[in-house]
Amino acid sequence: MLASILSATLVGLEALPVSVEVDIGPGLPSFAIVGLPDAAVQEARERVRAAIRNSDFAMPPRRTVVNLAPGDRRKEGPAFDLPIALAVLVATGQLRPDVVRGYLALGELALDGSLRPTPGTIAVAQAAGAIGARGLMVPEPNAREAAVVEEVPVYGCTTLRAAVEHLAGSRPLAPLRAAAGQPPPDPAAPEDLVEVRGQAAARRALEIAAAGGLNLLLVGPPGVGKTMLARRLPTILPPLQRAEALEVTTIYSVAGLLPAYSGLLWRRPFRAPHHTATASALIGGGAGSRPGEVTLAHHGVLFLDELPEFRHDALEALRQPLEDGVVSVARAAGTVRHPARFALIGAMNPCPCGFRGDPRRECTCTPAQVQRYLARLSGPLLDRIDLHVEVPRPAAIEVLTGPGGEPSQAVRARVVAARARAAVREGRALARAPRGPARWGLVEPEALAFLRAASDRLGLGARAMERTLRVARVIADLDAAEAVGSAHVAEALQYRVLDRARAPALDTLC
Amino acid sequence: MNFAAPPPDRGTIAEAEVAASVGLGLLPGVGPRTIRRWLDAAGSAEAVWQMLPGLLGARADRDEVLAAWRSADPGTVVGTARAKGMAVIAFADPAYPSRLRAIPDPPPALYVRGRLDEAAAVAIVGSRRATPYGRAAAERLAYDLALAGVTVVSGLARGIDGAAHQAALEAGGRTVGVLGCGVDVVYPREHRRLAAAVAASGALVSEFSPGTPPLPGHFPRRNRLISGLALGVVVVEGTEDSGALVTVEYALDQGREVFAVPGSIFSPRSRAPHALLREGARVVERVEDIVHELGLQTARPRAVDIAPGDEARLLALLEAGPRQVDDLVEASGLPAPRIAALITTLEVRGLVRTLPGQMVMQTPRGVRR
Repeated sequence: MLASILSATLVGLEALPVSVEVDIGPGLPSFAIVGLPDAAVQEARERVRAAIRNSDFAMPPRRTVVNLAPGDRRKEGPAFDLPIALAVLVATGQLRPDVVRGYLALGELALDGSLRPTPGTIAVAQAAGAIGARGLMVPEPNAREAAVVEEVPVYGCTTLRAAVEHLAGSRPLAPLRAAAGQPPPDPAAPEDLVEVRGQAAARRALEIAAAGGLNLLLVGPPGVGKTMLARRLPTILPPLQRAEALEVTTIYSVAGLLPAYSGLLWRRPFRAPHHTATASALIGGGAGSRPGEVTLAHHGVLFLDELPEFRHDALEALRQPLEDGVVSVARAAGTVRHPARFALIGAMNPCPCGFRGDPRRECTCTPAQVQRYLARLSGPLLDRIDLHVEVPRPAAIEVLTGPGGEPSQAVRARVVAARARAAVREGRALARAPRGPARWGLVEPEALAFLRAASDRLGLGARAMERTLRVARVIADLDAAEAVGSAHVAEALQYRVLDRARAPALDTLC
Repeated sequence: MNFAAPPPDRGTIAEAEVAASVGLGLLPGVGPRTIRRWLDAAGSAEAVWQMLPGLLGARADRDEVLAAWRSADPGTVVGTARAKGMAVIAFADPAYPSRLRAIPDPPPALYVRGRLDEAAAVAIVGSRRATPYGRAAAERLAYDLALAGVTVVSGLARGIDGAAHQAALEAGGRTVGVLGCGVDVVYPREHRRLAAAVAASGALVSEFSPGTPPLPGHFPRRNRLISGLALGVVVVEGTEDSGALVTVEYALDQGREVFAVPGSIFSPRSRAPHALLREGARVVERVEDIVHELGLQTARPRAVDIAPGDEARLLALLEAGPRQVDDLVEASGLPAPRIAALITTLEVRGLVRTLPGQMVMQTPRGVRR
């Protein structure tokens, strides 16, 4: 007898509906799965057989063929266990065919018939909503994330038997409704800028980075709090919108990093891959369509500590996502595009030994060694980092004992206001002239004159000047100024320290 | 490179004397003190050169020296030096600096790019790894000495030396760099531009023939020329084993005045100047401490043209020495963005400079007097 039920497979971050067909016919007892299943899908045979038996259903010793359609797409993962089991039960007459019609089901089965959490459930729920499915059967730990999608009733099942009883109507489950589409009133972050003492310049650079969506490089000796600062950038970025939270949650769900019983993720992600990370670990790909670190950092922060220690090819791979906000991962089955719009924070020592400019330890590097170290950051990558600021070791002990800084909430309020002003300004500029430097808004003539004088004195190139102006624009937005003034340019120049270290000044800095 | 080198001075003394002087400088194992004795005895380098086998007597390294003497081609060395734009100044040359001529171990010949003169000169020496404080002190003293018309002599090394040369140049003064390698070999490399500017304003000097590499053994020897060209030596920073102390020994040997700039008791870089102070070196707080001791005149420094306001306030905070940005934010009570903008504005005007570690220092020009 023939039976079919709907399920879905993941293509990148999206779910593609899959029809699971089961035919049980005469012949020697066997169990075959066709339709481009991967190894994990193949193993469903054993899990499904055991789960059916252990749920007190019958697994007749017949010739069983499972077909996953469309047949030209590779099917991945253990999510097909539940739909295959349900289809087998229909095909063997243990469940009426009409009750499963229009349902989507997914979930990994344990041998005892219970359902295990399955990655990508929220993506499948979106696909189910899109095709107007009658209902979605998911493992109970995934029900909350799936219920975020309001277009489809979601039923969380603890076991195969619970799923069958719901479908048969003997013990119906209530569809889980998402608690709320709104963020929790105060998603209390474990970190806050109030804990950072001193480091006025770095704090300010963090604020500018948040307001302008800019990338930032922190340069300082070990142990001065570069990581601490970077971890606090998410706390001053504007709160996630619902659509953004949905994207973030989907990414984490597909990556299998969403905790069980989790609903939407409202906190901006913070990813800090180690400097031994490979290019594919950063941008994603490899077996499966696992999102890379840049995608896991989408709408959040990607922190690369020891930036010059990263592999050259890994850093090069960051160029596309930094430019376009997406990353294309080429796979055998085609190219998958993952979103990757993140704020990059790099951190590095000021020199190979780490103590250049340290008031307490002596630097043992020669100027040539320092130059070589700084040169390890490729020009193209450095060009995409708008702010570079030193995070020095405080010379005065008072800084360590003094009062903490401003709390994140106050900084975030300024960031949100600056972004709003920038949006209005850019909207106006775009209406006037869709291209060209109009998006900078107004720049006072004195500010330009000052920038020219400064670049002569400090030895800045044309690109450094452009980047400075970009930073100055954000500072002006924070300052609620319509036009970029000299003071904004002057401040911006303090957050471009590497321009100077590379400038062939008469004096050396050591 | 466009060095303002004078046309090589020919005619004052015989070419043979120049070549012989250069030749004496090329002999291995024969020190300048010995050569000086021979010059006094024989009357000219040419005579010494010709009588060398006799003068050598029964020295242990006699054969080696004679082999070098026979194979030496000093005329070619002179030609090479001149082709590279250097003047070759023999001991007998009236252009040979008289202060250097008076030391017990003057080089028989000097290679010079630029111009040496008899003007008053003071040497500023110190650690290659200067602290921000040491750098600021060296810059201020060199700047003020240059304003007073005093030539600043140093060794073109990293750290204090470089700071001293550079500040003298910024003041529009004369500065002389004494090298431990050939004048055409600039070491350290990152001082190439500085070296060119020093040669244009004053001179680059070496006793080593063109192309000589900067071997470690050359630097202690070079130091006797630094003190020898100057009336006094100012030690800014240095550890117990600092090369600056070698220079001081030469200075004392040569009867030069020794000055030391006191530093922090917590800094290992203060050990050398403090040891000197303990032994009777003159304390230097300002340029008057040097020039009055040497019987020279000070010049009135130009006052900084700065309106009262936040810029003046920030400069005043830096009077006491270099400070970190956080420290300035705290001390001034001004918001961090304002401080950042002020620092750039003052940097562009050349009144402050930022050092690694977010350290901000006054340049000598930024000092209010």
